[in-house]
Amino acid sequence: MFGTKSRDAGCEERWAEFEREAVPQMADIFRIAMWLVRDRAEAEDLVQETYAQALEAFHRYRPNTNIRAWLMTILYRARGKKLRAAGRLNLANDSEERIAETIAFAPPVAQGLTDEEVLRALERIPQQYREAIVLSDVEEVSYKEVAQILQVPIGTVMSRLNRGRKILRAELAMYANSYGIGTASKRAVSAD
Amino acid sequence: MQCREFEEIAGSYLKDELLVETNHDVLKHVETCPACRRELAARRETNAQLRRAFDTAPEFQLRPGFAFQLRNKLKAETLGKREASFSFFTAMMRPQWLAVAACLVIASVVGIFAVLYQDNNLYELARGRQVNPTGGEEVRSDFSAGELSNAAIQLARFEQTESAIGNHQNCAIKFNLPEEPIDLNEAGRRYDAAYIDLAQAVRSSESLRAGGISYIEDHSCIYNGQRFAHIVLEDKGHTVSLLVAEVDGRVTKEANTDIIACSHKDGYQVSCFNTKRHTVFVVSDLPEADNLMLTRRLAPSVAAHIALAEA
Repeated sequence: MFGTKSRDAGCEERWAEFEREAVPQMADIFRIAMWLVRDRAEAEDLVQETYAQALEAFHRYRPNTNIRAWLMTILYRARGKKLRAAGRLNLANDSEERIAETIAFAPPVAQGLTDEEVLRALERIPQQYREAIVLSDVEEVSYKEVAQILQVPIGTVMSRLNRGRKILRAELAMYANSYGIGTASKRAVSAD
Repeated sequence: MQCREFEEIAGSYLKDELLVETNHDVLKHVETCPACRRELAARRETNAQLRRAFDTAPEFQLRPGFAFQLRNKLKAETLGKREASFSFFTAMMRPQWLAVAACLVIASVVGIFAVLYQDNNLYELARGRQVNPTGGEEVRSDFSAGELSNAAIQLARFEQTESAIGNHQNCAIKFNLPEEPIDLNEAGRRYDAAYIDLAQAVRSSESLRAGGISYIEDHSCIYNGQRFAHIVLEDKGHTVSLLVAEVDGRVTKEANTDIIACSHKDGYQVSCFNTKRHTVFVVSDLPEADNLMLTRRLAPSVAAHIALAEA
């Protein structure tokens, strides 16, 4: 198919490196995709597209850099493209400052919540904060890489994280209060 | 360091992105500032809650079947249409993958109840003596060669059942085998003729197609010193392993495809049946009835294929 033996060898080498570096990240990439689209079939499509693009552009990946962050960048771009095609792309709105003003206080951590409640609390915060939190605090991607993935300046990432984390803490505390969990947290929240 | 400055860099501190000197400043500050110490602990706890939620939610877990298929498709696109099944395991043995895949695994301790192992004295019988069920007293040791041979075969099959569960967990779910699997037909040529075209027999079985069960991949692997033919299937989104192992070189008089059900206390189901020289296991986390039904569906074509090799 590729003509010469040396081209075959080149392909094999490229595949071996891709398999060693990129394939083991598939579970993480799927998790992010699933979080973004909330539909398994759609998430699998997105992962497939991400990996197909990554394989094609693998010569542009710099060895010993963060392959997960590189794949996540491709994933976000692929998703952006799909959303634009479907006319569903929500550009970050200008309400960030307004929201931030309302969250001056970060409540203490609510204990005893189920994983499902934690995910529901996360879903309730605005998308731009949520994205930054998931990439930074769940996937443990560096701030610089979060900026690269979301295509925003690093300062924006920092401020989104700062605000997003406070909103998340407030949401978690609200869940805990509504279920009567963590009375210490409840007292601390209401005392402020 | 002031509290405001701490607040700005606390996130970087938790992500280990600070210079050593700045790290030191943070530590010094939290030592003397209870409010920032509490804040740091709170951030750590929130991050841990989030990661736990993402790691354990079933909806966020990658289907092994999808991963296999995508990987094989990408490889085929890169290298042409050559078969692409095995070095996947090398990649999957990486710690990042294992950390996630481990979340898929329910079981922590293998503990099985096997109908095969009906006699508490089986182990002792296989060693040429029978002990009193209520104590350790030896009551009989004059067994015929036939009795001992049958007991030894039963014992070997019982041990294989444990290995089958372990293999399903480590090979089909965790991708965690010490030795890389090899091509099933190649294993057939080298070790056991029953493996040759076994996957083809399973794939072409009418019951597989009619039951909506998907074939994922096949190979031969070693678990706990036992070589298996391993065919990975998917039924209703559950990963299913069909495992075939030879029984210690010994031959039983008759093949018996009546299903013998074995169950695992932590959720894995094993159904198995015997041929003259092999035991066939179907392992999954399907409900017991579904796992049994699947085994019954697969048994005729698998047994017929193995019987040809055993003839």
